[in-house]
Amino acid sequence: MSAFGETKLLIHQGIQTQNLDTAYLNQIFAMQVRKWPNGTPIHVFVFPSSSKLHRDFVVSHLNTQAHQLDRIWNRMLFTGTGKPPTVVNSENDMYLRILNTPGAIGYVSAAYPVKDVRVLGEKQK
Amino acid sequence: MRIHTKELLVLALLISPQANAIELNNTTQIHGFLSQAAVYSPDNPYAGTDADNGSVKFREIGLNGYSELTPDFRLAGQILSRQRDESDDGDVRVDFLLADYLVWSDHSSSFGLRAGRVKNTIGFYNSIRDIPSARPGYNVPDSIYFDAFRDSLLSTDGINLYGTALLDNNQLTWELTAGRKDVKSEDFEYFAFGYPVRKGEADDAPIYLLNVNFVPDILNNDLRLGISLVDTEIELENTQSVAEAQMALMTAPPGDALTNPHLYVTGAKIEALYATFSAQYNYKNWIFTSEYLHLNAKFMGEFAGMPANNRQKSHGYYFQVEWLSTPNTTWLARYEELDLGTNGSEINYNPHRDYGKGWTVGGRWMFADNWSITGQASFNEGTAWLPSYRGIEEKQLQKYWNYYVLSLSYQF
Repeated sequence: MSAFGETKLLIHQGIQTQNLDTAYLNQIFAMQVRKWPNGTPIHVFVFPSSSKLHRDFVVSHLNTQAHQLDRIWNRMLFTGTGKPPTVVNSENDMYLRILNTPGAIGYVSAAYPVKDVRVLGEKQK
Repeated sequence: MRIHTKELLVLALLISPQANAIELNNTTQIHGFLSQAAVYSPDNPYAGTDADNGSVKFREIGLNGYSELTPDFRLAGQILSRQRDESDDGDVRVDFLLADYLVWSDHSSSFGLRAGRVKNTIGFYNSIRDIPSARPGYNVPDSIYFDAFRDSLLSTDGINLYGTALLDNNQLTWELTAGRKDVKSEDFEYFAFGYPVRKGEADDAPIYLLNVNFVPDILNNDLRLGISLVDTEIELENTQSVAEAQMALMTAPPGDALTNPHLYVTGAKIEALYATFSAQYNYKNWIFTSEYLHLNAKFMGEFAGMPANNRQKSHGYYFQVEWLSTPNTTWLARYEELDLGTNGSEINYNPHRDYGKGWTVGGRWMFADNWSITGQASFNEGTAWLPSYRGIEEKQLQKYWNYYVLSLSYQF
């Protein structure tokens, strides 16, 4: 059990990458990396920035602050240089999106039951 | 057809019945924002005279769409209406409209190109200076992003190459832009002469821009460093002829060419090289930002046929602290200075235009999803960044001037 935010990272089952360190994850959620090593486009799903689950995830897994990601996403969107992640509003919706979208990455709380998706631990460091 | 603020406002409200972005399908989304401000500027006219006693003629509306046709190919565009009393009339303009092709991408690097009208990434804030939610406070720092060249430097019609690289967990991003941009002639004229010229319009300006950002792995990715270089050239076209200017001189009072040189302009060109150095450090809920601008401008003027050249070096910098005291509240303090290096260009109505020094304090409260209210007070000495408008020369400008802003913003 993580002492930090109790969240776990979910990835679509078709993605076999092993090497997801903090810097790489940070780049993925900042929408700077657009494809997985196998060429599949990355689809990022998040909860609303104001949710505690999101803020915990960002601090514990990405080693940054939610407001920093918000600024990066706002900048990309309103300057035409990128696309912000897709926002979902429930853990069930998050899980189904990860399950059904090739290349998807997201997170749920550690206690949320999932199957048929890749789970990458309580915390990457 | 000219669309005005009101039509755009209605359109924005009509298509945003819910708080989130409008997802037309999996690959197309529409976003937007509205910001309405009240500005009180008791000492100097701020973008017009309406704010002297408090004005609500300060409004920004944007509508934005993008479509991902394939994972590598996107279209994106934004229209913007910006009303600022006398200095901006709220007409809708195309802020950017571009096609973006990702040429190559792997787990540690990417490279792509955009074509069309692209926003210019200069310093941390130029590209988002019109986006209320992305600005620190009501406006971007005046010392670096002053109004004189705002329209000319906002975007480029041309090509933009971009890339990212992860080098041993150090993140590098870069952009290279080349193209042209139409220039708001009046801003150029007020910057160069302090007055509008009798005849002439600034021509489209060529722009070359390099921007590099670096996030080192040390310090937990909390430090961001940037450098931006911009090379541009602004030239007045269709000025009065030398004969016309000489004729005007003959009927003018003696010495008028020295006191009112703007009346006898027969040619003017500025070659400008901007260098902006940027640093930002995040520590927990604190964000420390500083930028420095060095502007090297070569001015080539001609007054009634007589050439007059000079070289002007301008410097600006600011230090800014933001404190995110709660997830919904931010506080801001900023100190800044700008020295335009125009020593001796005395202008009757505005004797303090050479420089600016100022403090800004402010706060923002995101009181509901997508809604925020921003308050700001700025205390200034010198008028280097006081926004100009046609008619400002009829005022006598004060050396010390403050302005106060309260703004309400919505974004979806």
